[in-house]
Amino acid sequence: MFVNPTELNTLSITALMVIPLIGVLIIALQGKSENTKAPHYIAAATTFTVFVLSLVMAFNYWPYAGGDNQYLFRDTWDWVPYLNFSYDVAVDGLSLPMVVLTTFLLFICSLASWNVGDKQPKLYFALFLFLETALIGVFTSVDMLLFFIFWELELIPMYFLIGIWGGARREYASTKFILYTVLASAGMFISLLAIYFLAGVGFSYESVVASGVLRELSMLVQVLLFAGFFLCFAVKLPVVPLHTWLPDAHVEAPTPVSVLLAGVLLKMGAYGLFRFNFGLFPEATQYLATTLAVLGVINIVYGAMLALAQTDMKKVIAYSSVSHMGFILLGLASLNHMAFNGGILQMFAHGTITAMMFLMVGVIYDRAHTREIAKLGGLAQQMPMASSLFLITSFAAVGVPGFNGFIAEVLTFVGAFQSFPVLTIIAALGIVLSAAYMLWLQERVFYGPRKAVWNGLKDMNGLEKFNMFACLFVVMLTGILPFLILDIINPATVQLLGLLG
Amino acid sequence: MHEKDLIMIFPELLLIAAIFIATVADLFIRKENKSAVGYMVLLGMIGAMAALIGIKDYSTTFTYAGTFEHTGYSWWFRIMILAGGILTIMMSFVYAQERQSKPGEFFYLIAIATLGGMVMAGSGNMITVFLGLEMLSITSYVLVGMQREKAFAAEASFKYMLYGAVSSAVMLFGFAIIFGMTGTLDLAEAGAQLGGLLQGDASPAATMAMIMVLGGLGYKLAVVPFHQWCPDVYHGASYPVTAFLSVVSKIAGFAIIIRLVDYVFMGSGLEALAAQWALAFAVIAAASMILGNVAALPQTNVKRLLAYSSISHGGYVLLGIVAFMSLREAAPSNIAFLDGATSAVYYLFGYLFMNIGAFAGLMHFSRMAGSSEIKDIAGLAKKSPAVAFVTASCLVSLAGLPPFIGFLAKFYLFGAAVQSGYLWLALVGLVMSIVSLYYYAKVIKALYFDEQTVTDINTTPSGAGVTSTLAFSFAGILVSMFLAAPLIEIIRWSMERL
Repeated sequence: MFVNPTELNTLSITALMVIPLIGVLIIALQGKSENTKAPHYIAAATTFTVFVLSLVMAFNYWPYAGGDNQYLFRDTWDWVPYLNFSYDVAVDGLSLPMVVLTTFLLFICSLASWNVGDKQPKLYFALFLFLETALIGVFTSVDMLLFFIFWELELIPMYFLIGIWGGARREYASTKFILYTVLASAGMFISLLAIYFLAGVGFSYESVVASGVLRELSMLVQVLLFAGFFLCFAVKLPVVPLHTWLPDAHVEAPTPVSVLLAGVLLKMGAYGLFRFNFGLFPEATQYLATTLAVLGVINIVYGAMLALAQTDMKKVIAYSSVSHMGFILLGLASLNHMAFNGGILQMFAHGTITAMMFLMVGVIYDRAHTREIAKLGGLAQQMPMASSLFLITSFAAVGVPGFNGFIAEVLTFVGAFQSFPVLTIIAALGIVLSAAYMLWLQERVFYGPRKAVWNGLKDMNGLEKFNMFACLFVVMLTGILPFLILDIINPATVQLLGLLG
Repeated sequence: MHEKDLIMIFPELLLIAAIFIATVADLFIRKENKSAVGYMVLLGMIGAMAALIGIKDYSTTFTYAGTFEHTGYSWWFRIMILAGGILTIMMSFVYAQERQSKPGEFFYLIAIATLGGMVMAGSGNMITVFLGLEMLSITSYVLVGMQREKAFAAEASFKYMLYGAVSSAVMLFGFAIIFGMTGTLDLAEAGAQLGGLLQGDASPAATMAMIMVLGGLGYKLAVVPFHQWCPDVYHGASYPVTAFLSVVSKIAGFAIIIRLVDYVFMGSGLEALAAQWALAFAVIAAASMILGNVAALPQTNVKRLLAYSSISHGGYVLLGIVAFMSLREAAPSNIAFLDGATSAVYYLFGYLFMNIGAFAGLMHFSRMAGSSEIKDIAGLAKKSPAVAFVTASCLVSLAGLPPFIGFLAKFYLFGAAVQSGYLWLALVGLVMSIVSLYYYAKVIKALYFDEQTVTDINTTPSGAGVTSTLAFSFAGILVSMFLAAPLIEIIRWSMERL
């Protein structure tokens, strides 16, 4: 049933997606008892297995990166031949880092869910694993209808994860999240249908690009189709002013879900923008590049300014995500090699760094039961370990050398400067602002006069430390040895630049 | 009579035998054992299904003088109708015993109604269409009114009967005009004659006749503007009956519509008129989708919500028929690519499972809470997670989200509509799908997110019947998505033998 085009293909992406579903099945068969830790262990074991397999896949991919065939590890199956619709999943240099990021964060989050999942654990971890399948599907689909299916599929577990395990305004947040996303994906759906009928070669991204039909359309049509996709990705990314669902969703979601939301889900927008918008409509992309860059800069500055004004820790980080997504948008809009690599590396870097930030907020919230910055203060004395890890996280977020965020930002800004010097200088303001809000946050939460209320707060436990150090390890490893990722990304960006050229 | 003719209607004969046995047996079975009647009927239906599957490739030119035909088309529609009947019976056991004053009758009335639907699906003649329709309708009137202790049910039944009788009469009048013009009752023959008579020009009499026929069938399908009865009747009837009406009755109606469209509306010589009819259908489809979905938004009662949603789904299926008419006009012999009728029937097949699944699941929760108000079923997902899961899946599928058939089927329909030049209609459908997500999510949200409000929960199990209905429905919405290719193959095969 499945066709493997390369000889090294002993690993399959389908397996990465099926293993979590097997986990769901095992959890479902766990009998009636709701007060057991079994689902926790099953989820942790499953996500760990998938993570290890994705790492093996990455190591196997590495020596072949840069070859002619970018799509290694491919599974295909003619699903509905009448509609020219097939199950077609593959990884290339763009999707592989995203897959590894997904499987890594899912593993970390399954550990971070240790207490969250105590309420209806079976349902929680079943949805959690289901989410993993959907996310891997999003990043590996070559068939665009399949991509759309996985894109929508991810909504269902997310809706429940926020809506059942979230904070006080969880229903509002989850409904807003799903409505924004579904409304926006209608844009992509229309564009997909249009491409289907205009190109007439089915839904495969590869065949549509190869046919070159879309490039022959008038610029107006190209821009309209571009806009359909962009609407969908812009909501996810999120681009100001379509970002308002994000702070609500982030604040209401439980810690591990916030991590996934910021770490993986936002990247879906950037990934889609890069792969589909840029790949399918290179002319329209060039035509609209300046607009995209301006939107990116607005995101950077506006997001950072909003982050400065927040009184809730989670909101600071939520808006900092908005700001950092602007870096990615600016990098991609610059349409040059360096900025592309920077933007994609930034996707990975932000995914790991923001995970650390949300994990730290989770640590504090678990103990203090508040995220109000004004109520906190002087926590460094009660929680020295948390304090120092938070400081390191802040450095990573600000873009201090040694962390992967630094490399990503340098590449992005140097690349972007070549295309949009003025805009880049304005955007650089975002770095200053990010230093301001991160360090100010650190200062108000951990330093300052000791507050008696917080006496007796316990420092981080073993599991929390493990999660933080695991993330920190990745952040520093790819910060010091960026070629680990860049070597994989680079061929994909070169290929895309060829299309744009 | 030919021996071959008997094989052709063998499934129906089996079902009639089962109904007869069950009817007689009902007289001797005590009230608390009435489930036995249900089992007899169910057994008969399963036998009929087996027989149907057995005669798939049985082809004959002998028909009962064209009144009843065994073609691939009628074969597939009979399969769908019978499957709907089986699922309805399965979900009825608990409800019939608890809520119906005559549980035995309840079962074989559903079987008779199913038989009526099968007759409709096989009919090639206006008289048979009418007979089948009335067999389905009259039993439905009774079924709706069977909860005797509820005044609301009586009102619903009365309303249903009044509307039904008038619309049947209107349809019959339409048939009479066609008969008057062509001198034949045979659908194919009438279409051919009309083509010769009209020579491509719309004649007032023929137009009038077609509008009347459409009115009568539109009532069965509950499409706008023939839908007013629907919310009240669905609300008043018991869950299994509502499920039956919304699925089996609708499928039977579409069986006739597609056939009429093919034979009469698009008979040779009528191609030019077909485009105008397609536009009329498109307007009805758009109105049904808009009204159904928008009116479902403020509903607080599960049944009324599903009633409006089923109006909108009638509109979606019509979208495929619009495409069928326009595509056929554009390329009369091309049935190969994005065929409108195939997409409509594929959608109906998915709808069969997702709607019955949704009704069965919500029946379970309403029974637990003792009310079908959305606020009263709040928080019950914790009490029966498996049922909640299937119900939510069916609702998600109805909303058109993946990974269930609702997504692919809608996609297929929209694709067919775009292909046939009805882009605006596909866009209406798309926007309305998004609207629909809001009210389906409302039910899911109540089940999962909200705190339980009703204190005395009825935890008596709903029985194996409901469980297996849910299992079949879930398998249906999943399998028909993943095995779309062979399924579409079968449907296309049957459409080629219309």
